[in-house]
Amino acid sequence: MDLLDDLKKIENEAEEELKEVESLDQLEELRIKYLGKKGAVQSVFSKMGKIKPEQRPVVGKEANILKNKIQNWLGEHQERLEKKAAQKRFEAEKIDVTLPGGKVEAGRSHPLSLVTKEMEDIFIGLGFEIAEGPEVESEYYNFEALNIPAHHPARDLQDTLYIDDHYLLRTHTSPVQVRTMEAQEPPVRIIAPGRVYRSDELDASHSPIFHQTEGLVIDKGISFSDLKGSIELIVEALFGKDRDVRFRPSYFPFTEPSAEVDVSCIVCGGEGCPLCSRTGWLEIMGAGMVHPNVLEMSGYNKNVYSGFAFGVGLDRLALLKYGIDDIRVLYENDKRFLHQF
Amino acid sequence: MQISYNWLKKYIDINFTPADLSEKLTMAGLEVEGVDYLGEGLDDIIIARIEKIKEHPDADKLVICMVKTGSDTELIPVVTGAPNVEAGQMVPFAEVGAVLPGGMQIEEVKLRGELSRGMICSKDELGLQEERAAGIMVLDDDAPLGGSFIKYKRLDDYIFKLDLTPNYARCLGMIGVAREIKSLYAQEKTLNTPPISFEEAEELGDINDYVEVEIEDPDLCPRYTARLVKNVQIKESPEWIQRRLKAAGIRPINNVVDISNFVLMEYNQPLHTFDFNKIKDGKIIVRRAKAEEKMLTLDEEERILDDEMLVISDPEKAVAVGGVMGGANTEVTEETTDVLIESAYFNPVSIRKTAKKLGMHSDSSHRFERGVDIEKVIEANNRACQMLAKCDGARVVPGVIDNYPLKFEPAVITLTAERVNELLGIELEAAEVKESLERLGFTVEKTTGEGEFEVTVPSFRTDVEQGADLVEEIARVYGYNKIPSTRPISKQRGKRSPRQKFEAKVKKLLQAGGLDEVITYSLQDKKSYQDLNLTQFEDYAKFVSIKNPLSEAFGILRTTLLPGIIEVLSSNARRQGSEMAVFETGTVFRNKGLSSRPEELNKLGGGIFGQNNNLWQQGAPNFFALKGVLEMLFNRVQLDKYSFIADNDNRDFLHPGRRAEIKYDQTQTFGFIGEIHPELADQNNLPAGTTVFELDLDFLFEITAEKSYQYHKLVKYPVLARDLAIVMAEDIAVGDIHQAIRAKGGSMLKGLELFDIYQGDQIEDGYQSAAFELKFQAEDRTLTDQEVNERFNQIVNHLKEEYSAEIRGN
Ligand SMILES: [Zn+2]
Repeated sequence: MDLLDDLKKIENEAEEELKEVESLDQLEELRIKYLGKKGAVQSVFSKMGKIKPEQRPVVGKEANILKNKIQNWLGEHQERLEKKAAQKRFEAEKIDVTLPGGKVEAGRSHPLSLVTKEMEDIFIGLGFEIAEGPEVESEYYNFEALNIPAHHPARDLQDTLYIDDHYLLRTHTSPVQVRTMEAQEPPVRIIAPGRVYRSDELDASHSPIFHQTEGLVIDKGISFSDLKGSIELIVEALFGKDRDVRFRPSYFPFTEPSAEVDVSCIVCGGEGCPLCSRTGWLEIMGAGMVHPNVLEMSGYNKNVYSGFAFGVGLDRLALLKYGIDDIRVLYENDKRFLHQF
Repeated sequence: MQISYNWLKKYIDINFTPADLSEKLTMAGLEVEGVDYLGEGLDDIIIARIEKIKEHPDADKLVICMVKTGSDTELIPVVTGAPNVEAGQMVPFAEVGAVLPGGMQIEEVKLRGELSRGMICSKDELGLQEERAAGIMVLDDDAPLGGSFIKYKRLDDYIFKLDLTPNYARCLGMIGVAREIKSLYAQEKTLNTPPISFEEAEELGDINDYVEVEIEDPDLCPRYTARLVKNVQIKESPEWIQRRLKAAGIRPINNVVDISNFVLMEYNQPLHTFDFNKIKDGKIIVRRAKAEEKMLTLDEEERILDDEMLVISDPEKAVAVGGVMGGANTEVTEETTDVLIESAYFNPVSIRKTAKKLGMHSDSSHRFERGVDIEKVIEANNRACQMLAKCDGARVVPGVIDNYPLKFEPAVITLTAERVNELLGIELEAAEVKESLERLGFTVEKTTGEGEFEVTVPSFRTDVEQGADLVEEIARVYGYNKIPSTRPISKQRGKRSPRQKFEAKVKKLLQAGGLDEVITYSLQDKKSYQDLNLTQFEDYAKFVSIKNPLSEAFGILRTTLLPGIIEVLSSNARRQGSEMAVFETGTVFRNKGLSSRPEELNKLGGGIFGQNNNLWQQGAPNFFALKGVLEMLFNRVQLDKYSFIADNDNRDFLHPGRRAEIKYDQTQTFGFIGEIHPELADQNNLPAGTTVFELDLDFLFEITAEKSYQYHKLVKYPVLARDLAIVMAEDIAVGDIHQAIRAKGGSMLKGLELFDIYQGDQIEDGYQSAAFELKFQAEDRTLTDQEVNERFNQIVNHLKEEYSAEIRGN
């Protein structure tokens, strides 16, 4: 008998059988069949005694080669099977990635807060501080110190809610101008956002309670052109570069010269539409050079210092910015509304 | 104020398009609120004549008018039901194809079988009156057949509605507006003030023979002029005067009243006309009213006057509240023949006070309050005489009474070109400054100073008091929009205060916790406090009331954020919301007693409903969800010494068993949390279990203000964990046990967390079990089991001694 032929035969058989193996158990059976202590390759070794001594090294070498070969085959096959099994497992673990994620509800900011914060951030960037003042004010701070004497027609410009003969609900954030000037020496650079009150019936465009931001800059050499440049910058920050800004003469008792600031309509761009009452312009704030009387009453030297002030309605700004057509919506706090921001 | 373009052109010959003029006025500071075309939609209306009227064969209430629109045109049949049609009438007519103001187009129709080819219009159909007219509009016989209705009725005019600020008093009259336009936009044009000339009736002698004027209080009336016109027939004004007044929004009444209103609109000078024969002895006394003096004013109201008010009176009685309203006793009526015309200057502050006190805001008081041109009162008076003189038979008594005790002293303001340039940021030559002001009617004299002027303010500029006012005038002439744009250099860094940063952080954290920010009204209805049983809590009843509220709904200032928050929650729940969680930061107000400034406190409040995670099986998911958010907030602002302590005897608006005070350092209450009382929740449309909180934001800021983050080295030694399950009486608060364990655990107890509480099977009635996880760790070494066990046993023994708590399973 030729053991080398046997080895060849074993090799062929093993190769064939391996092709049929599809599980790790079958693979183990095959390993025992060919490489086990009583396996096919071992049986060749056990027959070595029966062949010529000079043939033994040759057969022995070939048998070892075959053993290694089969071992490698088994190894490779095992890897393949394991990979396949893993793949199968992964497939079984497949999820529907289109199912919705876990619910995380982050709370929202009220649109008025968003607008206020945007304003504050713009001004902080320009070197302003944020000032505050009480909502219940005295006649003095709300009117007199702002150059609105008791029997001046300018009092009609703001319908006032009174608490008693001494106190009232501030009709504008302008009293903060005076409080700031009284509390500090120039230079001054503040904005003062806050709640204000008017005796206005509630409707789509009026509310007895609304919000304003006051701005005040005082230093040596502040001019009307500084006012213009600063306001143009703010308008750009709020409404973008494409808006035109115009200043027109107006009247506020605490500024002189006074100006109303218009921005080209955000809906029609100036062509005229219902939002801008067909004028092409939207009134967004009042501004002016601080009136010398106001500087004087607050203890600043009107011949040395000058400054500008402005006031913006934050509710109106929010309405314009977000396309809201009714101021009351801001205060209804409907969840469907709040969750749009 | 509203002005007619056609009327304006009488004073200045301008040809701006209406849109252009509107823009120019607005940019001059006379804000135009709107422009109306009077002939709007009437282009197609022509004048026709009803030639004859035929009966409708098939309808009693309809007739067929045969209408002619030209001398040689065919008759047009028009079926109408108007009761007032008559043959020969001149009427406004819309032919087939014409469009009416409402947009309706006239078509050929058959009415009950009869052809109708047009429409004879009524006033309301032409948009000339609001209410429905009883019949067609009938025109005068001289209306031109076939002519344009707009032309005939002079409706080819534009009405500008001006919103004038108080400093534009000079523009409350046509001449003032024309002067403003000339100064700014049409310097080359002349200002056409009316030439005043009329014949005085010499045979009547002199006014001083009839009238005497005495001013007792010149401070309230610096100038009073009077003229007398006799033999006036009171009747309708001519059409042109009526048209002008209507265009100005003033209702025509009779020739005398209309002329005085016309002059008011023209000169911005209010006049008053008295029935002279009702003035006792022809004597006018201008004096302060007596206290409690009574007078019936033109509007048939009895007014009670006081001694700060100015009256015009005769020796017996007050005949007018000076500058505000006339008295009924001297009113010009149909019987009046002799008219005394008053043209005066009254003290603006006095007029304003009086008008306010009496609640009588009139066209006159509006102008006197703002200051009229004291130097023009005679001219205005003469203008009225001139117009009255044109009425049949009227005769002007020669002479005018001019009582002028306080002569007008024009203000003189010193101004330098340098200061103007400094304040405006422009570079004008001194000559340009001078020229700008002269254009506006100021008299400007150079002084010896460099670029310095003395500017004399004309009498019509009652608004100009000081240099700043002149600077505005120069800016207006220069053009606001031509002034360059610069930006002042900031020497300081912009920032928020620590308090402002803190509030921003709190808001962010609450949002991270899922709460939406809301903003509610700070004016509220007292009733909502009663509905929510809030007034029973003392602090919440310290209302600050509004003296002149718009309504009860805005009658008081809020003393707590709760009503606003609860309203938000209930309205959302009503609408369909199944869950909601909100917070608000804002001011609340507390009354501190009469004449004291109310206290303003910054509060943080919030509320929640619709949660369903039944944490700790307490059946209070909303409470624990909201408490969790607050604990997260306190943790993140590094507040450590806080506790939630059952609230036994306060705040009855909350569920008695589900409310807690939030305390700092065991003692200082700075807020609360709790479920709305079930009965109140029910009455106020709130979902059951709705939980709210409120706390003092300023206090929270104060106690955490100094805290900043500090790094602690990360411990590398192992953690030994032990579970502790105990059984104890059910009325023992788990929070107390938690604190006891923490205290006993000492510094090596690094973590302590409740993970279960339980009542029921295997636990005796009246008892509960609680299970904690304890984590032990040392910072400098590995703890031994023995060390940990010793400490654990100390804890167990302590709980046993203090709370009779037994280890479960032992
Ligand atoms: Zn527009």
